Amino acid sequence: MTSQPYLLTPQREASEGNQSRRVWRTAWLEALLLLTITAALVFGARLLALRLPADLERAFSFAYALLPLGLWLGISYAAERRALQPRRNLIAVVMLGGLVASGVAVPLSAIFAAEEWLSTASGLDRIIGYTLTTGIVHEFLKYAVLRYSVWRTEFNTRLDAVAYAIAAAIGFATALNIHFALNNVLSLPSAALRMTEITLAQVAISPILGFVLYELRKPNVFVLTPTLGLLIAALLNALTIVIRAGLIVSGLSRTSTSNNAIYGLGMAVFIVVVLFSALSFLVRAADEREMLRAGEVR
Amino acid sequence: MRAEELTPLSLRQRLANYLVILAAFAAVAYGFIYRNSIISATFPFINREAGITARYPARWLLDESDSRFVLRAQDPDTLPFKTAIRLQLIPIGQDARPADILDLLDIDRAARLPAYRSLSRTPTVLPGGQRGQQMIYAYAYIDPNPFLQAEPITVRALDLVVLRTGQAVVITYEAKADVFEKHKHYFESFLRSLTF
Repeated sequence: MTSQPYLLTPQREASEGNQSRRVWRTAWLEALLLLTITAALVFGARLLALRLPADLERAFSFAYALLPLGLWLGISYAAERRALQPRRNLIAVVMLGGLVASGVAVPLSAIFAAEEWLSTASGLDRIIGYTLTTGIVHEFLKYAVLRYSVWRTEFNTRLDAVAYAIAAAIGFATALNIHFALNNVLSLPSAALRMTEITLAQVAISPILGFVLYELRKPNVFVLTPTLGLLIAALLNALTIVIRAGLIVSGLSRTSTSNNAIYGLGMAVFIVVVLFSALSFLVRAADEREMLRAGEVR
Repeated sequence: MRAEELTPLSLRQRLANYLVILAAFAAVAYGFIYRNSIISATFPFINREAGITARYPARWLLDESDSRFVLRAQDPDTLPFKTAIRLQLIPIGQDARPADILDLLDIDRAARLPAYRSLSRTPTVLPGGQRGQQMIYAYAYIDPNPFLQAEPITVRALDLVVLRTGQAVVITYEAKADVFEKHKHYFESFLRSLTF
């Protein structure tokens, strides 16, 4: 005969929230830390009038390209490993995201050369053009990484889908950042700003893909849901490019235009706040609706 | 492995997934078409006085204010040297031949343009059927603003001379040497639309 041990405090019911990492909390923390570090770097460099040798600046830019990945490993992945039921294959998804970005997205972007023909086009042409080129390529590649790697085995809850989508976006953004750091000669604050914008835009949009991919898990899914999700993600990707470009040109006068890259960060902050808030609300609402429906069935 | 992994996908799931792939490929294909439509978009140019009509690239800047040219269109995106198409009319005598006009341009440019070199001359036929002669040449472009401290740029250019009653029509295309061939399709499209 076995006896149950006597506990001083009642045993907590193991809920989904306790077993796995809290995805939104770590995602917010990473975004906030990345923004804080970038803002500190930009304003610190302005205050100190920091000028580094070109080689050193490139080396720091390269290191900065890896910062989002470092933050993700230090916060999200570390929290995942401490969880009772950690999500598997997150590192593999990050690597796949990086591989498709460097192997497909970067060469395709060079073929499209969207900056060459869209830079002088009208606002609407720019939005459509970027949606049909950069936007759709980026988002479809992330979709493909998730759909053909962990979708069937690991997408058990909506938060799983969001966690894996963010992992794919982190890998994707890291590859784009490395490509940017190696192929542009910019001051460290300017490079840091651009790479932060790339990362935050990729990460903020990716939960949309996770959300629709989770819907695809249901046998009676509405057939257009994943397609609409992909198109919305591609459109948002394009909007971040177009609006950022409009925001960073400031101080237009009859004789010159001046450039203020810090305004571009405003767009990234806006999209992170809006999309993270909207999607966390949507995920919670959908989960609650499903729980209620399941309760009614019982 | 979990049990649900083994359940086969429903028809709706498979269809939804195929639709995503189809939509992505269709969007990229349309992206290429859209790109071409923007790149090859043109605006009409009509000069009734000179009896010339043509279509020039929509994104280029048109200049008709210079009395030396009937038309000058420049690509504002190709700094530091703007790719350009020019059309000028030169009055000629009764026995003038296209080669004479090229000789005249040759002498004028040799005196005006640094490191000017005429590279080749060939007979040519315009898309409209008019016979003429073309000359390819190169020179060094030096930015007139000394404060820019810019290096000289090698420019490659093409003159096409066609005669009509009492006038020689000189159509010039010039671009930075490394993008000369890449941008030449603008000039070819311009020639196809040109009537005089």
